[in-house]
Amino acid sequence: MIRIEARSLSRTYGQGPLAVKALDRVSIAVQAGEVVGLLGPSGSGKSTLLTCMGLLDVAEEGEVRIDDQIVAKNGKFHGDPATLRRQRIGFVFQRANLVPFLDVLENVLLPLRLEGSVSRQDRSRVETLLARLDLGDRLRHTPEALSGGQRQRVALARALVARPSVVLADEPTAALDAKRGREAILALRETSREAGAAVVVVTHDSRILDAFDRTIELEDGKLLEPPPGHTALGST
Amino acid sequence: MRLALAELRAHLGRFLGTVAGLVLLFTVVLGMGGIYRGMVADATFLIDSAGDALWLTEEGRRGPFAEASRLPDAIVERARVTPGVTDAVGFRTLTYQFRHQGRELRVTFLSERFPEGGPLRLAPAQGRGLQRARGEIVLDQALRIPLGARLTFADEPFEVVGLLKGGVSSGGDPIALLSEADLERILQTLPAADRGVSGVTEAWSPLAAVVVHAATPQAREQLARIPGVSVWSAGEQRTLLLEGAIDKARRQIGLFRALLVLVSTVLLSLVVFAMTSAKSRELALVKLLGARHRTLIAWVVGQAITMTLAAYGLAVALGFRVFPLFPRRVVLSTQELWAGVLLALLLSLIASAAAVRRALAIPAAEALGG
Repeated sequence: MIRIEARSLSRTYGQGPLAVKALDRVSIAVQAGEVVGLLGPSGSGKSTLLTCMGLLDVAEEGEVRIDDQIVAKNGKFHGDPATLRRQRIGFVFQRANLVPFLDVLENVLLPLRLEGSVSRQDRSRVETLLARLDLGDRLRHTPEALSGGQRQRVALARALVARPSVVLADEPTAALDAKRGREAILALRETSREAGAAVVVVTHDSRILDAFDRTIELEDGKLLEPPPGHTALGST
Repeated sequence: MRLALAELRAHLGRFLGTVAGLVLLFTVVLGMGGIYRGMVADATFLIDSAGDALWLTEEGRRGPFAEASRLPDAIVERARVTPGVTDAVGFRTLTYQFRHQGRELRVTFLSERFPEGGPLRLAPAQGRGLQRARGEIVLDQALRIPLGARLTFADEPFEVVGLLKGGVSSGGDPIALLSEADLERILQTLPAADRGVSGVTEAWSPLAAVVVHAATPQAREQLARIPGVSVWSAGEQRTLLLEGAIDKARRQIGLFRALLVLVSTVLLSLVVFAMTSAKSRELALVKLLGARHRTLIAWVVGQAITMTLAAYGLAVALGFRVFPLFPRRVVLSTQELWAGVLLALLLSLIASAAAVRRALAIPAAEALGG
């Protein structure tokens, strides 16, 4: 089942001779449970594609579908993008981006609180999720008391807590050393697969390429063929 | 609101510092209002103590509180025999300054008819009223002179037989009740040079007004026919007083309070705006996570309301402790205190406006930056 699909997205910044085409008819589709790496040099359009798929920006041409529902098309959102983000999309950032004055549990519960009230079952589910991510004894710690890897795992739990259709990750391992980066991406892969979410990871980190089911490369706003031998975890 | 409170808890020092500043400002705002109310209460104390009486004053003068007024003694008897009049008593005061146990004190003597009493209906809070035509005095507690104390005014000895509570003249001086005969004697024993100069601080008026209690509405018309007098109701006396001397003070205090409220609003605006700017990353994050506008507004406004109401509550508590120590009466009315809560809420909303605009303008994509 296709969770998220971008169809022929084009995004241009600026006008006239200063216009820069950040995306040029880019199309991708990601299945439920699939983890896709989005590669490319700086300025290739990775972040633009991520912001368009994450409904933080809208492409002038093309459309974005989540669970086969059109959510953005030809420069317009279909529905309230904030509501769609809250209910359908989880985000993981280069830095964990946790709220510094909330403890681990409250940081993870934040998307649920933004949606409405938090039930006892929700709380129990979050505690289980955090325990699986080796954070069961850190529930009441504030982010400053955690290591970089722990923070990123908290961010991962936050991205998944509202059971999104899609998780979009922007350089999630950039601030971690090799070991913790790998642990984080494997945790993302495992938990999102269980949740049936599609995952798109923007990365420059060549050490984690084998964690992806497949990779997509962008250059000058256009899609390239995936590099051979880096299509799935453990495959060559 | 949860975010607002969590953030305030995390930055307790900044929160308490802001609240402390606002507490001081709000206490001054409340105090200024209380001082005005105290002035009104002091100024109208004597008028109110005479009840629903008519006041006869010198014709064309708005005395005895708003203007000086002098009447011949015969007016008292003339008023008393007017049809419909049940009682008429002369109103005589004398403001006097004296030293007592090293303290310089001011008092307004008010003569009382003996033994019938009047013109005012003042019951001592401690001790008793006058029972002898000579040598007894009832003082207000504010003078801090105990019951039984022996005093000398203009060579005349007096014993303090009763203490009033909150008895002040329209000028705010504590009052002292003594018999008409004693007041007359004090005046006569004063050296002529002292009158209005050193001992007596106000020109002596033999009879400033006549306080009249009437049984019929027609009595006022009858009284108005007495040559050389003007007739005022108690309500008219209050209005004259409040529209005269007190009105300028009211306007001055009102302007000063408005200025302080403005300063409080600006201070709170700056603090809330600075707090909002400092958390722009967190605001971008929750926007990216899909927060509704009302969540962001509740976060920003919730903090402003929490700080303002906390400061206001503490200012009220501080006021109740501190204002009684002020030299002049400070009156806090329940109505004004509740109005203050509404004003504080309004102030929070106004102070949050710029910060809310800033919060809503922060792009969600800002959270994506490394």
